[in-house]
Amino acid sequence: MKNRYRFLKTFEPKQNTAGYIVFIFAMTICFLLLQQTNLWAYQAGQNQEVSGMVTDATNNEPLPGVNIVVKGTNIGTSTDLNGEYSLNVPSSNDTLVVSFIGFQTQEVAINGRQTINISLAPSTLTGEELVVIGYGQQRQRDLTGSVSTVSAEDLENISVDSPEKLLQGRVSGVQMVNNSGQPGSSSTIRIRGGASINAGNSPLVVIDGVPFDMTAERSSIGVTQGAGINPLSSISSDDIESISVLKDASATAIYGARGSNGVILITTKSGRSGVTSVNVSTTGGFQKVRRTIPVLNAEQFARVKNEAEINSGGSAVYSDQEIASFGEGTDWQDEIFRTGTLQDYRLSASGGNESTQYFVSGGYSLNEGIIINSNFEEYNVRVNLDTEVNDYIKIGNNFTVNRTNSNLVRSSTGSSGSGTGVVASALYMNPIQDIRNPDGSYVLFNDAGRDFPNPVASAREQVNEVENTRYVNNLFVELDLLENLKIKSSIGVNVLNNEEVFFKPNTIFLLGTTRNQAQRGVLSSEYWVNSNTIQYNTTFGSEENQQTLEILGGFTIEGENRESVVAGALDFPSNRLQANDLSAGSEFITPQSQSESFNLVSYLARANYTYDDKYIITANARVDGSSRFGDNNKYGFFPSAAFAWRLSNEEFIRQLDFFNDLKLRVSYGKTGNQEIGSFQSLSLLGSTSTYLGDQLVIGFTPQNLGNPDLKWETTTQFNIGTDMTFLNGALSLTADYYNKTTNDLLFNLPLPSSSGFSSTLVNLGEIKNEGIELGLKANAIPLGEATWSVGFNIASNRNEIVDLGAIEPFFAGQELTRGTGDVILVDEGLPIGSFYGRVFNGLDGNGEVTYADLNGDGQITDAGDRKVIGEAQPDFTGGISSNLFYKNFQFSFNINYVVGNEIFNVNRVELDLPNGFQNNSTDVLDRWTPSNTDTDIPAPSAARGIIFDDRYLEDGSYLRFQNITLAYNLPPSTLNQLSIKKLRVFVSGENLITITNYSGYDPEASVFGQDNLAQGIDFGVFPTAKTYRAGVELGF
Amino acid sequence: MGKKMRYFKIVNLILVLLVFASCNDLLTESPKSSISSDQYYSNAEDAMAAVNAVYAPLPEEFHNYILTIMTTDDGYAASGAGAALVQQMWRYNWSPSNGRVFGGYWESQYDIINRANMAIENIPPIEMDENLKNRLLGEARFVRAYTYFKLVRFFGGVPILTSPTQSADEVNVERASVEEVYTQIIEDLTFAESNLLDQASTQKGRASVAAATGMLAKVYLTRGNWEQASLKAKELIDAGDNALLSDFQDLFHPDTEDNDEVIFALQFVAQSGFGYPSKRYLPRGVIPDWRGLGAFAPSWNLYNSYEADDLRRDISLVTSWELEGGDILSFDPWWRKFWDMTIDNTDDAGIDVPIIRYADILLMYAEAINESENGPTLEAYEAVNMVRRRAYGEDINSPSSVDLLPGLSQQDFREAVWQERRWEFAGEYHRWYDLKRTGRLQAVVSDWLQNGEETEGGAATGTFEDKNLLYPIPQSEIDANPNLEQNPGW
Repeated sequence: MKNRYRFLKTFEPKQNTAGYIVFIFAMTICFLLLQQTNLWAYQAGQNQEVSGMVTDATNNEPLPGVNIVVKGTNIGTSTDLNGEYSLNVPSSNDTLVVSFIGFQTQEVAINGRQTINISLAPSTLTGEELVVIGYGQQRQRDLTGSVSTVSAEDLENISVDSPEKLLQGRVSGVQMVNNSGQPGSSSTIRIRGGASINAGNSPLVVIDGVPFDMTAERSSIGVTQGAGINPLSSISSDDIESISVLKDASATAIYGARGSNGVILITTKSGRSGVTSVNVSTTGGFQKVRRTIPVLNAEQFARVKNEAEINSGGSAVYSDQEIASFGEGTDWQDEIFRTGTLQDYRLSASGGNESTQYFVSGGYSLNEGIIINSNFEEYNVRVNLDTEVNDYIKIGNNFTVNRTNSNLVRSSTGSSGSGTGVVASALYMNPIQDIRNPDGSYVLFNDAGRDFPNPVASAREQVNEVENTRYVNNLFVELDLLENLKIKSSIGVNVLNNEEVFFKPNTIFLLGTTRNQAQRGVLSSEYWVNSNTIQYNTTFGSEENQQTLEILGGFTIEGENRESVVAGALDFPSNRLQANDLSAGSEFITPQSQSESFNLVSYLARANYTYDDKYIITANARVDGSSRFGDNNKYGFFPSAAFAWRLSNEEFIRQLDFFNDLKLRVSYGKTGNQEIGSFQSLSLLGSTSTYLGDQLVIGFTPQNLGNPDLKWETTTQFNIGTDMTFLNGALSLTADYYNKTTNDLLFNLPLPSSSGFSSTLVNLGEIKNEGIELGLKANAIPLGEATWSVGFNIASNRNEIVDLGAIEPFFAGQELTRGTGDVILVDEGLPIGSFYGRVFNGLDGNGEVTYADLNGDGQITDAGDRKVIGEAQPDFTGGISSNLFYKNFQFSFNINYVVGNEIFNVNRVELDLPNGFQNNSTDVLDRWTPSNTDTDIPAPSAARGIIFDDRYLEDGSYLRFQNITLAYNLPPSTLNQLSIKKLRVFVSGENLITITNYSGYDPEASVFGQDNLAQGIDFGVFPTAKTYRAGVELGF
Repeated sequence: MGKKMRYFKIVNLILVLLVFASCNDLLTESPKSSISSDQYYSNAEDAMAAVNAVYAPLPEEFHNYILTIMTTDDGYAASGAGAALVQQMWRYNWSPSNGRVFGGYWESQYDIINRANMAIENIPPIEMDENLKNRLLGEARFVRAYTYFKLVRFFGGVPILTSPTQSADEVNVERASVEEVYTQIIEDLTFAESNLLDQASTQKGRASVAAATGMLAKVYLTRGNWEQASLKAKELIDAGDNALLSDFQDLFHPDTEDNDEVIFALQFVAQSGFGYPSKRYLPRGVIPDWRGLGAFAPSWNLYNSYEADDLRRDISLVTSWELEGGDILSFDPWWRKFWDMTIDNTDDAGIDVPIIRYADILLMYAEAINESENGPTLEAYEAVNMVRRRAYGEDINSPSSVDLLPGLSQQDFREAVWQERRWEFAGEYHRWYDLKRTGRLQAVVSDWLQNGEETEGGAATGTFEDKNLLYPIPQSEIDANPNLEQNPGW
C-alpha cells in the first residue's frame, strides 16, 4: 500500500520535476524515431560498395563487431564473425571511421579503392589517447603526473548505484568503503590516505567542470536518521565517458586549495559526428542479505535470562514449563529482511553531423532494499550538446536533471540513537516477544531490560524520506583565436534541493517515547562556477629535436549558497496526517533556519614542455583566494613541478628491444585543503531562546572564537613513478612511490572552557602519508579462440600523525553503545583510526572477564591498562579485473581486496554479553559454566558493565568478487538481418563471493559514514546485499 | 582575422571586468543567519538580547542533580542511568577525566560567565535609558555571581574572568583564591541589589532585588558571616513582599509556581527543549505509562528520615501507586516533586526549580541568628515553626503541636534547622552545599556509603576521602590550560 502510494505520488501533476522528466523522455523518443526513419531512407539509395577485413594489429586475428561508418554520415555497418564487412558508400572520396571498443579509432580514406583491409591497434597501449586532466586534456604518453583513468569500455559490465564506486578495486591508491548497504548510500573515498583531522578528507570531485560536494552530511538537512544519501548517486554511470583520478602534486596543484585529497574528474559522454547510436536497456534483479547472524531462539534466551538473574542473586524468571513452551520464538532478523528487487530502464542516443553533436539519455531505476520499507528510486535525464557555430567558435552545453526518492532505514549513530537502529534492534530484541500484542497493537520494545524498539514496527511505521532534486549544467564557449591560441570560458551550476521528512506515529516506541512526532526540513544549495582559460600550443625546433610547448592560463570564480529550514511538531491527535500538516501538532519544536555561503577566486597556470619526445617538464601554479579563511590569510599559492624522461626513446634502451615504452616521472609540489565550512574565522553571535516565566525570549550569544590568521592546510607531495609497456604492448605496468606531508592542519584546538568556548579552529600539526602503488595490465592475450584481458593493482599507504603541537592525546569522541566510551585514540606517532582499549585475558574461576594488567600495577584501570589494539586503516588494498571474450560470449569479473585492517564489531559487544537484557548470539551457547571453563564467553549475570577490549576487534581483511558477468552479444550477421547494431543479454552477480573472517554482516561498513577519525566501526549498519541481475541491451 | 581580434578584445574586456569587479567583495564573508560580534550591541534591544542569552543555559537539572544530590545521602544513580561516568559519581570513584560530569559542567558554567561578560562589557557604551541599562547590567552581574558562587563551592578558587574572551591568546587564566572569588561575587551582587527592580515589577524568571539580597544572605551564610547573613535575610522578612504559600504542593504545580514565595527559580516550561525531563527521575517499566528511565532516584535514607505526618515526604517522593482497579503497587522511592501531572508526557515537565524561596530565607535567618546570638531567639523559632506548620498542613501563623520544642540548646536548634532544610528542599539542589558549608559532608556521606543501603542500583559502596571535599578541576581543563593547578589529592 505504502509503496504503491509512493509510486503514484511521483506522477502527480504537482511534482514538476517528474513531469519534466517524462516530457523530456517523450521528446527524446520522438526525436530518435525520426532519426531512425531518416537513416533507413538514406541507406536505400547507396550504390558504391567497399569491403574488406578488420584485424587486430597485435596478432592479425580478425575482429568481429567492429563499427565502420562513413565519416560525416549515418551510414555504417559492423564486421561479421570473420572480421569481414561490406558497405555501400555514397562516394569513393569518402573516409571510413573504424572504431572498436578497446582499440584506437582509425580514419581511412577510401581513395577509390573497393577492398580495404584495416588493422586496428589496441587503444590503451599507444599512449596516444587523450586523458582528461585539470582544465584540459593531455596525451597519455605526455603525462608527468600520477593520473589513473577508467574509461567507458572498462565500465560496460558494471552496475553501480553511483559512478565513483566504479573506482573501487580498479584504481590503485584509491581506497573506498561502501559505508552501508542502504540503497543509494554514501561511500568513503580516500586517495593516498587521509591527511586531515578536522577538515575534509574526501577528494574534490568535478563532473564536466562542475564541482560536486561529496560530503553526504552537507547534502542533507539531517531530519532523517539513516545512512546518508550519496550526492553522486543521481548521476547515471552509463552516461560516463571517463573518470580520471589525479593523485600527485603535478596533477592536483592546478586545483590549488582543494587538491590535497586528490581530484576525481568525471567526464560524461558526448555525441560523435556521423555515428548515430541508440541504446535501450532494461535490467531486473533481486537481492538477498549476504548472511544473517545466528542468535539465540526463545528457549535458549530464556535459559540465559534465568541464569543471569540467578547468578546475580535474583530468582529464575521463567519456569521450565514456560521455557519448554517458547520454542523458536520470533526470528527478528528474518522479520526485517526480505528479498530486495531492482529494476532499471535506460535509453540513450548519440550522434550528430559535422557541426552539431548530441548525447541524450534518460533512465529510471528502483531498488527495493533488503530491509522492509527501504527503497531508492531515481530518475535522470541528460542532454549534452556541442555545436560549432563557425570555424572558430564552438559552444557546448552539458545538462542533467535528476531526482532521487528514498526511504531510509534508521541506523544506530549517536548517543541518543544508539541501539535504536532497526538492524541493531533486530539482533538484540527478545525472541520470546511477538511482533504484535494479542489486541493487534505493536509490541513496543524489548522487555528484557534494555529499551530497544521493536525493529519491525520501526522499520514499517516510521517515515524517513529523503527527496533530492538536482540539476547540473555547464555551458561553455571555445574560441580558436589563432591556430595555436584557444580561449575557453564556461559557466556551470550545480543546484540541489534536498527535502527530508520524518514521522513517527504513536503506535511505536522510538527515541524513548511513544509520542508521535513529525519533522520536515529543506536544504537548497547552489554551487556556481565561472572558469576562463586561455591555451597556447606551439611546436618548434628541427625535425630531430622537435620541441613542443603548451601554456595554459586561467581565471576562475566560484561559490556556493546554502539555505535550510527545519520545522517539527509533537503530539498529533491522529497519525493520519503524518508529517504533512505540522500545524496539527499540539507542541512545536523550535523551527530553525540557516544561510551560508562561500566564494573562491583563483588564478591558475600550467606550462608543459617536451623535447624530442624524450624529456617532458610540467609546471603548475594556482593562487586561490578563499572567503573561508581569515582576513590575514585570504590567498594561498600552490605550485608544482614535474619531470618525465622517456627512456624508451634513448638508444641504450631501444637496443634492449624489450620495452615498447618506458617513462620515468618525478614530481613535487604543494596543494591545499580548505574544507572547513564557512564563517570559521569570524567571531559570531547566534540566537538562543529561553522561557522567562511563560514568555519566550530571544538572546544573542557568542558562537565561536574567531581566528583572523586561519588558513588552508598545506600538503607537500613528492612522487616518483614509472610507466612501461613491453611484450609488443601486451603488458603494461605503472608503479609509483609517494610521500605526502600535510602541515598547518585545520585543527579544533581545545580551549580551556573557562574562556567560554570549548575549542577554536587553528592551523597546527602534521600528518604524513607514504605509500606505493602498482598497476599491471595485460591486454588481449590470445587463448586459443578466446582473448583475455586482465588487470591487477595493489597499493599500500602508511599514515602517521607526526605532530600535534602541545595537544594531549585525545579520543575521536564518538559515543557508541552504553559504556564502551571512547575507542579511537588520536596521538602523535599513531595512524588515524587507532583503536585503543583493554586486552582480554581470559575468564577467571567464576566465569568473569579479566584483563591484562598492562602496566603491572596489580590493578586494572582505564588509565593504566589500555593500549593501541588495532587499526582501521588497511595494510594493502587493490583489485583484479578480468575480461574474457570467447566467440560472442564475454565473461568478466572484478575483485577488490583489503588486507590488514581491524573492524570494531560493536554489535557483538552486547550479542556476546549474557546479561539477560537483550538477545545474544549463538556464541553464548558456549558460555562459561563450572563444567565449561574453556571459553571466552563469561557466565550470565545481570550485573555487568560493558568495556571495550580486543575481543570485539576483528580482522577486516576481505577479498570480494564485486561483480561477475556473463554476456552474450548477438553476432553481427544476425544483427544485420535484424537491422540493429547491438543486442546484448547478460546475467551478473554482485558480492556473490566474499572471503573474509569478519563475523559481522559485512566487512564493508561504517556506522559513522564519512567521519575522518571514526572509521572501521560496525554498529547495526544496513548489511550489504548479494545482488543477482539480468538484462538486455539493444542498440540501433 | 579582424573579426577574431574583435572577439578577443571583447572576451578580454569581460575577463578584466570580472576580475576587478568582484574579487575582494567575494572574499569578505558576510554571514546572514548569525551576527558578526563587532556589528552588534548598538541599541536597547541588543542589550536586552545579550542579557536574555545569559539566562538561557540556567534551566539545567543533569549537572545540578549529580553534583548536589547524587553525591550525598539524598540520592543515587539507579540502573537506568547507564553510563559508567554517571554511576561512578554516587560510588565516589570518579576521576578528573570524567568529562561528562566535570568537563561538561565547567563548559556550561563558563559559557554562562562569558555570556554575562559579553553583556557587562558591551552594554555600557550603548546609548539607552540609564535605568534600564543598569537593571540589565544588574541582571547579568547577578547571574555571573550565582555562577561563580556554584563554582567556588564545588571547586574552590577558580579562574575569574570578568571580560569576554576575544582571542585564543588570552585564555590560560590562573586560579584565583577562594577569597578573591567571593569578593567578586559580593561586588556583583551588591551592584545587582542596588540596580534591580523589586520583585513585583520584575518579569518572572529574571533577577529582582529580592533575588540579589537572598543570594547575598546565602553567600554570607556560606562564609559563616552570621551577622550579615541574618541582616540580609531580615531585610527580606521585613520588606514583607514575600510569604510562604499555604500549601506546599502549590510550589510544584505549573499553575501556582509563580507566587510570593519563590524569589528566583530555574525556568522550565512544558515545551520540547525547555522542559524538565521528569522521566529521568521516574521508575522504568513499573508503571509503563510514566515512560520513566529509572535513572536518578532518592534514597530510602531520605525517605525514612521524614516524620510520619510530614506532608512534604509524599509530595517530594513516591513509593507506591494505585493502579486502575484499586491495587496498590509499591516500589523503591522515586522523585515526584518536579513531575508535571498536568501533561501526559514525562519528557518535558513545566515545573520551575526554585533556587531561592521564602522558606529558605526563613531557615537561613533562623540558622544565622542561632549562630550570631549563640542560641535561638523567639524570632528564630518562629521562622522555623512557620515552615514546619505548613509541612504538616497546619496554619502557618498559629502556634501548633508540630512546633519545635522550646528551650533547645544552640546545638539542638542548629541540628533541627539542618534537618528541616533536608526535608524542605529535597531535590532542590541544596543538600551538598548545606552539608559542605556546615562541615558535615564527609561524616554524613561516609555514613551513608558505609551503611550500604540496598538501592535499586545496587548496594551503596565507596569511600569518602579528604580530597572529596572539593570536586576535581576537569582533566580536559588542566590539559588545555598549563596555568591551572589541580585540587589537592586529585
